[in-house]
Amino acid sequence: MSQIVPILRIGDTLLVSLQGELDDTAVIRVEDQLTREVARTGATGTLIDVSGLSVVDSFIARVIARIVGMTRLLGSEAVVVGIQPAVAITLVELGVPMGHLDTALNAEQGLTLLRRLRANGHRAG
Amino acid sequence: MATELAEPRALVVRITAEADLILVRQTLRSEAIAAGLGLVDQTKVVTAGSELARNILTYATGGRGDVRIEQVHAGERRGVRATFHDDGPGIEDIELAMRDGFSTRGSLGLGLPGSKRLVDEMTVTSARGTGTTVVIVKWKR
Amino acid sequence: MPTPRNGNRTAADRAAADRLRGLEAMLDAIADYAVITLDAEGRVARWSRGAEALTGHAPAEAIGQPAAMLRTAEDRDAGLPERDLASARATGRCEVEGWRLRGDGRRYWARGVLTAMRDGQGRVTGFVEVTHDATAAMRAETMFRGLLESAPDAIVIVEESGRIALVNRKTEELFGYGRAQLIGHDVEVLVPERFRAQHPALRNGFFAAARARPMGAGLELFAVRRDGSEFPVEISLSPLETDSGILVSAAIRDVTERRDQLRQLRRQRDEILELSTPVIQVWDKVLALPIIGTLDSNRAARLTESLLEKIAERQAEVIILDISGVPTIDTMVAQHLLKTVQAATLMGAVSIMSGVRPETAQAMVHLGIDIGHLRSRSTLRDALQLALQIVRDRAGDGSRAERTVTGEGGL
Repeated sequence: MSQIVPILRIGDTLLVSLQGELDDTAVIRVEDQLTREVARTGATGTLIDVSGLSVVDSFIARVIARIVGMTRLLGSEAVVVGIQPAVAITLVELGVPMGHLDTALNAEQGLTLLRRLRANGHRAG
Repeated sequence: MATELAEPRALVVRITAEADLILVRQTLRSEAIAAGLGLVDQTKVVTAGSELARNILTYATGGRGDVRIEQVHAGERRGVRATFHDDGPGIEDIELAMRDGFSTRGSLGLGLPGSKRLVDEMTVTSARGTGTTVVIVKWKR
Repeated sequence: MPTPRNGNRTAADRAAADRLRGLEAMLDAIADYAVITLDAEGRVARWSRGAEALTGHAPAEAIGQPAAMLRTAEDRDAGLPERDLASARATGRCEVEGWRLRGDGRRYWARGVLTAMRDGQGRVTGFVEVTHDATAAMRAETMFRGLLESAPDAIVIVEESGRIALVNRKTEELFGYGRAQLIGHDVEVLVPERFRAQHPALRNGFFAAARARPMGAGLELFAVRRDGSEFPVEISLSPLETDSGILVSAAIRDVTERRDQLRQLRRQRDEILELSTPVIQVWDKVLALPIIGTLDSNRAARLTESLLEKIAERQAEVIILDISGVPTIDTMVAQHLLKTVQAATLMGAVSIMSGVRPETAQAMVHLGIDIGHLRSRSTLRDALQLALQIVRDRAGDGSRAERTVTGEGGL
């Protein structure tokens, strides 16, 4: 059966950590759960940690982009953290449009970016 | 999940369900490592394989097909080769399907052209009624 | 032939004489060959016009002389003229070949046949020697063999049947066989066992459409020595049209050394590539990549990889790509730089380009590059200042934000 991906809440920030070999069902379940959690908790920010993913194909990338879009629509911010170097260059070569995502190297910098996004109310270039 | 030895060192993974994508990725990864590919090249070929396996689930009749994964040698070069096959309806216009943004299913349409950018060699043979075969090769640098 | 009757003897003699004259006229018409008739002792009995032309001796000078007059002193001393006659007498026919002397003292290489003539009782009544001037052919052959022997490659000449017709000294040296052990044997003896079965078909394919070309283009070829050891080779094939049909000449070169050198070169190139893409940490969280020299796609790919890995390793927030040391940025390189920037952005790092020249700027804009994420400064120094400012701003924002968050957290 597909894996369960836990969603952690730290203050007003949600943290979801994607790792290992995820099947599509698990990824879609994260999308559903996270959207509900953002709405339920009123979290102002979400960190999506993908440092544990050694492969991100266009399907997973698309779901991640959808999660970010929905989070924003719910008045929250989302930052994708920890994209591995090999995954980053692969996504660029694959041609998945992800330029609109806010990204950070690690959870710490991700939190800093979330705060800045919330304080400024706009995204930095 | 069916992994069988087709001939020495060639592994065949049947693609009939979503869960098989993981097996395709894992098999490709281990063969790529065995062929000596670096981390970036491993990731590229695994990702390309994942895209192509997903194509089979999306387009092939009943979402069925298979992939044969093997190490290849050509002179001093070593690499990994994956041959995807399905008995689906086939691709009517390969040239069109190889273009970025082309999709018959409303997805991103990155499948074929995106995969091609991730590997060193890719050939697609298809005809209406005979299914589609996609061969990708990634060489160790 | 009708037997002449007694009463017609004169007529028959006349007819025979006519035939003889006809035959002699025919012999004289053969200008390229010397046709010399010798008596049983080997003295010249008849001297054709061709003989006169070839040797420069008039019939009057030749007739009655021993045939040995045409031979060189060395041949005469060695007793070769007598040996030829004895051989023709014993077997009926003897091939002759060697230097001959012309009337003017010059030499020519004669090649031909000496045939014994016998009467009804089988007694040898004389000889006919038919020779021609083979000097040019002999020189060409000598040159061919000389070239063959001095060739740096092993040269194996193969008949259509696959049998070896000729090999040179280098072949003996390279494969460890003597000539006699190779000539007449199938060429497959030089092919490693595992390729032997498929070789004849490939060989026939070449004979069917023979033209000079390398063998097994793009493949690694191996040959096997007499002792069973294998070595890597390069082989070029070329057809030779000869009187006895098409032969194929295979020039075989041992490339063991070159292959080793190539490996060494590749290793060195890899090392140089590593050195030539140095990622420098110029400040906490700031990396600089000064790119120097020409970028090909291989080097560009390595560069991207080492930069991205360094970003992860050092958790760098800003990277500076300095391209002032790159002579030309073509579309491919510009595209690659852009991909590097995009990948760095995905990882969460900000990119700054420095040293962008006007033509590079044009190329990048024409590519439709989204420069939203791309900042650029004309010099490395300016880029570094911008980088430090970005890091300070982020940290500053961060600390302010942290206070805010702490406050909110208390609520």
